[in-house]
Amino acid sequence: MTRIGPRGDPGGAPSPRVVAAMGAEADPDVRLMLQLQAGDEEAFTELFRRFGPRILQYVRRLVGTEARAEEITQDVFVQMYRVRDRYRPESRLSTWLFTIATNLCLNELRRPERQLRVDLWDTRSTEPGAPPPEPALPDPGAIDPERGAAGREMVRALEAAVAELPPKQRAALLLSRIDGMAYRDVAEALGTTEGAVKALLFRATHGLRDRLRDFL
Amino acid sequence: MLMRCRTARQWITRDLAGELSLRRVEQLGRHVERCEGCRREQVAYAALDRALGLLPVAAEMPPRLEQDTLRRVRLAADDADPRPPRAVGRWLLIGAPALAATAALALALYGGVPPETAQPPAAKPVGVAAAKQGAAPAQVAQKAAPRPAAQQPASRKRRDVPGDPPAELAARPDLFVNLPMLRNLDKLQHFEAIKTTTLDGQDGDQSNG
Repeated sequence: MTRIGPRGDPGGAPSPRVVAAMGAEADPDVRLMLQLQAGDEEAFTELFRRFGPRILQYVRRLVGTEARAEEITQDVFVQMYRVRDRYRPESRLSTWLFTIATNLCLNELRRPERQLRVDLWDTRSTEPGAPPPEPALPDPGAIDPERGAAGREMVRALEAAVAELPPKQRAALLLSRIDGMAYRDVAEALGTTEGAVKALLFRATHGLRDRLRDFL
Repeated sequence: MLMRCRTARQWITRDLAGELSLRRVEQLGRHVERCEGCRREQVAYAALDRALGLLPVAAEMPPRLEQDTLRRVRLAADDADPRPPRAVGRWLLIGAPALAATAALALALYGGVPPETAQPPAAKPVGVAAAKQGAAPAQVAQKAAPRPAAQQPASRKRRDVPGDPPAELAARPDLFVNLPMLRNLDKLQHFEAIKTTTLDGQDGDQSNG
């Protein structure tokens, strides 16, 4: 008996797209997402635990304020739940989630009433009468306790310098250099091309170099 | 070939990102060996790259954030409209109007209802057409009134099948008690009509009793 493949090809040879989808379903994140699409609430909790910390950190660095970062992180996962049926296993779940997060953050940064000053890592003195500063990041020494005071200061200055980059450069830098995403995935998350991502990264890196001249 | 410092500094960052071909990496190395400024830049960018690697990738999650998010998701799930299964929903959208149209067409063609009576009752000007033929108003009223099926000619039985009474009458059956009198009241008020027609019960063809 002749087997008919997915596109009607005799011999049962699946198309490359089907092969990719079958491979993607072996990814535990994708499997969880498929379970969520089937209505499994536990899968949502597990996805939140897996991606929540990374998304929160990314959003913190993009929007700058702790309270707003937490709200946007919630928005990311609520949005993920609402549009869960649109996810296709052919693309990486992390890319899809970071795309949602990036869009929400860039929308937040575009709001006219929002001050573009990012104060989470701003070590400069606050203006008199200004609200108390948001809680700072966890001590970098806790991440790498072997680093001395100079190293912690360097990391702190780096966080402040990253926070001063233009939003798209910042997003590209965070996704590529910190979250370790491929250029292709960064381009998808930012809705642009790989070439544009490379240009953003180049400008971001040079911007950081200029801001951190005292440390480097 | 000599490389300009401007090009070298572009290549330094690309080299750190792993984008440079082996041949260009070697070219860059030869330039940096000779150029003190570019060597400093290379060291600085390497330090920057290492520092970026030190930044924490994940944040510590506040415990309430998970609870708050789950609460919002449950609210979103409750607010969402109950969605029919995909296939059923699609076929309902497409199939329901098509099924209704097919049923109406089948009823008109095979249900024994002539095309002219398939129209809504109000669209058929019974009174006007009968009046044009010289019939009295009372006759017109009788023609328009439904008759018991048993007393009608076989050819007309299916044509004038009486429907259910209006909801108002169905709710008050006492309205039927004096129905013959009410019909005849019309004849009493029009003397000319009485001369040409009979009361209910006097003519077997028109009797309802």
